[in-house]
Amino acid sequence: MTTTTSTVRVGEAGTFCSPERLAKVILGTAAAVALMLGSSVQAAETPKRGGVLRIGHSTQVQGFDPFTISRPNAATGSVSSLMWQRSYQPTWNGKWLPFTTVKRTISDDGLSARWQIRKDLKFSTGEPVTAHAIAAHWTRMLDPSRNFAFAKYLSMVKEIVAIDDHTYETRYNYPYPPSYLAGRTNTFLGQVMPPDYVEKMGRDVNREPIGTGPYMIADWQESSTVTLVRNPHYWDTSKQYVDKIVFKQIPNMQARMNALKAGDIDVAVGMLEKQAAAAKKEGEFDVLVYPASGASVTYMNTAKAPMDDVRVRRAIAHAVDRAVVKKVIYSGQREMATDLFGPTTEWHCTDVGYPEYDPEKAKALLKEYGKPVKFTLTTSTTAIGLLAAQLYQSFWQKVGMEVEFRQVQVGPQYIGEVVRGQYDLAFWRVADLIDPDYQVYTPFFSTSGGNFTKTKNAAIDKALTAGRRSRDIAKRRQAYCDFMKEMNRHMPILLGGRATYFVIARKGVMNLPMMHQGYFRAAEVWLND
Amino acid sequence: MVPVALTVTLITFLLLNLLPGDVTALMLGGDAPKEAIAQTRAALHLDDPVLVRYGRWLWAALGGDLGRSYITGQGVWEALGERLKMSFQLMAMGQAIALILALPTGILAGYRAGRIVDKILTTAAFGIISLPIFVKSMLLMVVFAVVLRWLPSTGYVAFGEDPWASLRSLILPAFAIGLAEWPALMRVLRSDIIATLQEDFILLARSKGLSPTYVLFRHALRPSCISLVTIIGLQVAGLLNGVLVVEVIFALPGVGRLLYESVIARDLFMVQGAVTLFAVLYVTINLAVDSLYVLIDPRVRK
Repeated sequence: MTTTTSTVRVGEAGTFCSPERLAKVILGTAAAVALMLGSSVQAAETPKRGGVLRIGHSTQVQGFDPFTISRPNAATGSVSSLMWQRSYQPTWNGKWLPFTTVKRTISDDGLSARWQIRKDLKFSTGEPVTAHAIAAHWTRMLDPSRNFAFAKYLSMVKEIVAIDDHTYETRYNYPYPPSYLAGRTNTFLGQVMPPDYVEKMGRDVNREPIGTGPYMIADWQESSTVTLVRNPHYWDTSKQYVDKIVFKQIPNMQARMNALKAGDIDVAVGMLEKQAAAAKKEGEFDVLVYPASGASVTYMNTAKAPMDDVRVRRAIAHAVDRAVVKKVIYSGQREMATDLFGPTTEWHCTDVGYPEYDPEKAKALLKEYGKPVKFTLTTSTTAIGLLAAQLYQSFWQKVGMEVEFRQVQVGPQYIGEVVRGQYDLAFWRVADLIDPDYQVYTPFFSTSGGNFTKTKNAAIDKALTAGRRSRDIAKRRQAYCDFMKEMNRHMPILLGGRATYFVIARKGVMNLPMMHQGYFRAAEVWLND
Repeated sequence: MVPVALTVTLITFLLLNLLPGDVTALMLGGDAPKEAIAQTRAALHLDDPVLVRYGRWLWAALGGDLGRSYITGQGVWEALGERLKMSFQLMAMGQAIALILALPTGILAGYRAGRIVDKILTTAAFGIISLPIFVKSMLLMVVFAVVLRWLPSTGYVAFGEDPWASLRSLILPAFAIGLAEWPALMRVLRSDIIATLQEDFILLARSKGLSPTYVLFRHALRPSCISLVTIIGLQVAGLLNGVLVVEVIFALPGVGRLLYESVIARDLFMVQGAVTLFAVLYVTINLAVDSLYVLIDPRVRK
């Protein structure tokens, strides 16, 4: 039997959720869980210990030093989630429960937050995890002389200081409500290692990390496998179900599916819509479909004619038949986004006025614009990139636009052209991140260094500022809904499919995790063999 | 060998320098502040003239330091060393399979030229060569791993870790390579056998009453192997970095994949190190092939 798991709500228990919203979440999640119960993914059975969990994924595990790895991929994040755990742990019923943090207190002025960590936390070497180590980790990242790639995203943090062995304080440059961010994500923010070890290892720390989570690396075959075993010093040994977890890099997706069919792996992650649809149909495997936050988008360079005119941008949007895009590009398995915050988050907005498919309206807008519209769409060299470009080109040509597309290798060249503004339209992505401030402030605030669409819109800036500064969660939510409404009017981006993750697992792999940020957090998976 | 290696490394360095895109965009993120980019470029000496950078790299390389990956921080030697073991093993197994298939079929087709056996083998060779290697790989995987479950579908086990599992892990990819290389070897050997069998010394051997099998294997095979060895030399050198498709499909951590991923990521030192190694190995293999000619056919010495 196949399983489709679709909704998980995010919200800190009792803090950010109104009772009504929480009730909706629980009801919605109950429906999702009910869908799961018919399969082997149910959590009702008593977890078993033992066995080897083999996970097939596409990308190379890069390493764990934030100064070497500027863009951790899904495989890196998945391994990181086993080696370090978040301060807060999500539950399927939409709550975030304190995990390695036992208490958090925010100052009245919102300029600082104090965190108390568990006293029994230890590194995999047996050395205790202290607030001093956490403070040293953050101090290293915030040191301006080190040019940390993500420093711009941490500009709100002034410093982090240890108060005592088990308490540290985050001090902000301005009141910063999403102060829980670092505790909810599995990235370099939480990859704390003993400071003297980091100092001693230098750049080698990237490939020889020491973690605090339930598993630790036992073997790392470059571009092949990463094997993790139980961390003997982990504080909750009852949650280390499988003996060993092997991440196996299989770049080719069909080969990954074949490996699953051949019994060489237990779980295939990073799958595409087609494989998920086929697996659902065959019924041989469990399929986890996780709609997340973020979306595939098309950036429009609003500083260049003709995209500097909102009528042209709206005409471009009205000309796209999103039903066809969903069918052709996403095999019908991915929803088309109308906002950038997914249904699994508390920031999701409905009724935000995304332009509907209306070629006549597109033609009318172009007529009103009065000049020929000609532009180039930048796409990747992949087959799906080509297909998408051809499809969009056909939509726009139908309403009278002259469209060319050029294929650019994904990597520095593609990124560089967008960063330097050397594009008219370009396929891009708004990342699946844990808070809208992280997701949209840098890409769309007018004076931000990451504003590659050159969006200059006072209403967008106002909404982004309100979302960043307000301590009232209801006001933040409203601010991001206002932001989306204005985005859908101003149209610096076209929205494509919502970020969605597809996991295919053999029967007997239990408790498939939520796929926040696309990471397969295997810590609580167990095998029913 | 030295001039070839120097020329190759210099050309590679210059070509990499011409590629669009900036490695600092990968390291610091595309939207990094200009000051940070400037600092990083200065730290990596990216603003120096290209020949100065090449000279600096060459000097370090002569001292055994090929640098570190910009992307993962791993030492280039270390990364190459890890993958070369697998690549050599795969290359040896693939080439051995190709040779095992080519020798009997080439001899048979040459000896029975124009007959039904020759026609069947020639048709089979053209049929197999016309199948792209990814199709051959997928077919092998589906049949022997998914359906029959005789062999692992993907992945590599190091020889030192478990020799039997290591050989098993490379049988399917080696067969994919062997099948891709076999037709060329078979056709070359067939042609040379046909030509050799028309030589005067073969006629003399036959006139002495020697058996056809003896004449074929004792007198005709050896001089017919010159072209075969040349082709093998080229194939072996090509296999060092040319089995990318096989490495990707069978999830093998080889040097071909390393080079490809490094080029995409603009990992300058990794690409430079890999190309240097390939150049040296290529030249070495061709030198070995030239030496083999003398062993196979003493007339070459003259």
